[in-house]
Amino acid sequence: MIEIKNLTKKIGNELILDKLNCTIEDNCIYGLVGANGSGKSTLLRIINGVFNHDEGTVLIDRQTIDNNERLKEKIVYVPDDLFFYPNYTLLDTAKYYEALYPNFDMKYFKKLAKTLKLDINQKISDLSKGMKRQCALICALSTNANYMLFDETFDGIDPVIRTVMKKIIAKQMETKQTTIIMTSHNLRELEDICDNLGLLYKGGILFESDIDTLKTEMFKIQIALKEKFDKKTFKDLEMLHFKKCGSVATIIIKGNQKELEKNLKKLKPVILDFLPLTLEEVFIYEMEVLGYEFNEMV
Amino acid sequence: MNSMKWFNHKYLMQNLKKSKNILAFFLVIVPLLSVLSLIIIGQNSHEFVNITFNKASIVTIIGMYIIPVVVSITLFGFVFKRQSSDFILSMPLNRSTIFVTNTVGGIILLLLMTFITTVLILLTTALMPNLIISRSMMVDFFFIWIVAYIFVFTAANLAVTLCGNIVTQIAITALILFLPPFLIHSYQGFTEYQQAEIKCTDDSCKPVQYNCYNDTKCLENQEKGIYTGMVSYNQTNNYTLPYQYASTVYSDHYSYDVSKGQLLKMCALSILYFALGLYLFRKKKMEVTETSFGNINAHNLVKSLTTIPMLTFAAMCFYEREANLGIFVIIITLVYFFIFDLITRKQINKIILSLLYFAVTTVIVIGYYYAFTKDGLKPNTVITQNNIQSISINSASDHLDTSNIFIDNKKLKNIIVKGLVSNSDYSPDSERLNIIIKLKNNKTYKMDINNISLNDYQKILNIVYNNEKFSAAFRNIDYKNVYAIKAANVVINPANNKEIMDMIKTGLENINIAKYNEMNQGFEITLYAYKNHKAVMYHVNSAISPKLTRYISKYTNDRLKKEVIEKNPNINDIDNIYAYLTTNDNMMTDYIINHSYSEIYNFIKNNINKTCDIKQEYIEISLNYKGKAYKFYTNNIDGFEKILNQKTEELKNTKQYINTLKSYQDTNNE
Repeated sequence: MIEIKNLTKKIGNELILDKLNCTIEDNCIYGLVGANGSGKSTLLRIINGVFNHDEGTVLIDRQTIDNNERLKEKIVYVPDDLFFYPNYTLLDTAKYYEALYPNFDMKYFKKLAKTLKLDINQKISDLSKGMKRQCALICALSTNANYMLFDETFDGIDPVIRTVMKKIIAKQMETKQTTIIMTSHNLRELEDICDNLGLLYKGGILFESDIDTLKTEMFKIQIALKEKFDKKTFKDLEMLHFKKCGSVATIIIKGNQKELEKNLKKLKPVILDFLPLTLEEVFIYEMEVLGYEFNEMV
Repeated sequence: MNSMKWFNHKYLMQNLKKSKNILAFFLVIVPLLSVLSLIIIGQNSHEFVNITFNKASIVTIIGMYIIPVVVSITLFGFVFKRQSSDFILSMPLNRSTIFVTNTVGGIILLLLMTFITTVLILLTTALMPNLIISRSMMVDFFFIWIVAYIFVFTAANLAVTLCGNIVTQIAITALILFLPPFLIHSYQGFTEYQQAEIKCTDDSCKPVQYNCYNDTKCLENQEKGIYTGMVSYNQTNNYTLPYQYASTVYSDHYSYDVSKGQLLKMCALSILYFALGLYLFRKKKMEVTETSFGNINAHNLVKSLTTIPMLTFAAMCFYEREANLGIFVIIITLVYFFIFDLITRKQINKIILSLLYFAVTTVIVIGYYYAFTKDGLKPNTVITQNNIQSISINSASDHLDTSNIFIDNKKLKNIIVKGLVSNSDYSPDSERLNIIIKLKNNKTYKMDINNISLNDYQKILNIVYNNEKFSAAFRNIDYKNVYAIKAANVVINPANNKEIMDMIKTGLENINIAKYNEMNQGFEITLYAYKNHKAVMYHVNSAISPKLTRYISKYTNDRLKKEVIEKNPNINDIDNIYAYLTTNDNMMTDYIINHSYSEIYNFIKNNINKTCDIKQEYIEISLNYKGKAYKFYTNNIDGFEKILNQKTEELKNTKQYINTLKSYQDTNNE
């Protein structure tokens, strides 16, 4: 488990993380979203000990990362801006990881490379951006680290490979009890893979929840009543958004689906449809409630 | 529980693997160039060359400024790039482990390079028979250079922990290595100027030639019987090698001798830099990459510090009333100030702040300079005949190193002070002495007396030769440390020629020292020794023993016989024949010799088995064969002259001979 308390980091005169608090449970995929410069990469670097923090605590399995090699063996980090040694092949890079990570699984690495049709003897510098990221990801996955931190995880990877990679990551989490933190400035990239999501804004986690709760406790409903109605008609419900177009209203409501259905049917609706919400829509409405304009954040 | 590992060999191997090409290049270049320099020295000389510490170190000195910094950049350069910094620091390695592993790895590489250099130098000198080298010296060579290289390496590593790009790292490394000694050296110089005042306070040291050049104070003193003068002295210093070698570029005051003090200082500073580097690396803000510093004030401070030497020079110009040059230097420094910004930060920002730093630095440096020089340059000490404890005469004998023989003799003190105070112009009837004065406060001052009268010189020699310590040292050559003997251009290995050592020893034991310096009829024998980490040369005239002289002439002729004559060489392979006759030789001898190679070679062949007694009249014939120089000694002057006369008769009517003779005569007349 990763526990972050009052984490503060300044770079130059700029406050990047401001008393950030966050808890990431074991064996989950945690998605961290936020606009460019919101502090996602800085947070990952601090978790992994690349950067020192100014204030607060970061505990991983109740230990601090400072001068803790054993703990670092449990964490692997793939940054947004990838680095490979010049003239190194994929196999050379894997050997580098193998030398430093005690649980590195070379067989698994070769299997993953084969799955993704990567030539392990080809120089990485000759590969495309997306393929380089695949190389970095399979090296990281082969370390069998308990915590995997992936910054801008699927940047540059084409949609087909992205789907394959998501499956590999999900399988890794399931079979090896791994905790994965993934960041993206694009919420859509994370919604079908993450268990939990956190929104980073102005140096702090503005909002976090598990995706199941988000998706099962918020609904987009299209409704039309025989009689005239307005926003006040639904005042007893936890309504996040109301928009009426002609005689049909679209409302976003939080709550249990069955209870909502029961309550709304009491109003004898002409139309009553429960529509699926995308994760982005969930975030937009949640942010509206908090008084933020979501599009400015991501 | 936190785990801690200081050294990770797997990481080191990976780190070395990724930069193997660049490391291999830089680590091989010093040994190879060192060998190349020795080959050039060896091939450019037909004579035997004694490879001193400095000759062996030509490439190593230059390498000291480059190799450790390159190794440091190669091992620690990852911190200067965001991607590589993320990559390395995200690996399961503590920062302490990274720092210690890279430092240890770098030291191993430097050790390896220095070891290879040492071994290759020894091999080269073994394969090139005209190069002589002391193995003991090469042991010192290895230790001295490994200490110096580690010192520069740790300074460069410390610089890594302070900044965010390579150029700034190099600038900080230079500041660490050069600024503290520069400040001590230069500001000490402003107040002391390495000059001592010499004062003669009574007639015992009254100079014969003394001129006050209308100096009122000097004239007043002269009336009181006080004679003063200024003398420069060589200051013994403990500067670290990077600074010492750099300072010798503009100063000839400093010797190349490496003292224990310097080595200890470098070791202590290396440990300090390492400890400080380790601490700072753990605390380093890794987010500062690809720029000099996160903090603009730190950037401006470092930039300002790098301008101190230039501003000091400007201050010196103003002090010497060279205002235009001073202003020019300040303008150049100002331009540099902004160029530094462009190189290290890729932009010029906060110009006002930058100018403020420049102005403050300029004022401080110039103000500091003036504050210490406002009363003029003061001598460091006053030396009188009464505060001298003892004197060492370095050049009293060509025979041995006398720098450690201090003589406490009142007469000697008076003559020396007299010689130092005397400010007469140079006279051809004078001698030059190199002395070390030890004062009663135990401070020593090494200096030259340039124009001591022949009479006083003789008196000095008499005092020196009659001194017991000097006599003892004269007879006690440290034979066990002698690694080569050069006599008549032949190098003799003392290990295989014990008898020559015995002959020298016996000869010196029986000789009268005063008479020794008058001997000029023998071969010049040089004994090369390496004693107490210092090269010592003993010069012995073979005339101390007739047996020794015969031995050398025979040894020389035998070498010529064995290596040339017995191989029945083609006469065209023999060149540079030159003859030195103890009897008269006329101006055309060289011309005739040049036309008589075949005859001279046959003459040598016919006389090679005859022993030469150089107390009698003799001829020394030198020749080169296949790049090696040989000498031949014979008393058969008549035979040699007969060859020359016959050849002269043969050639004297030729146009070329007449023209050459005319040209010689014209030159002589001019």
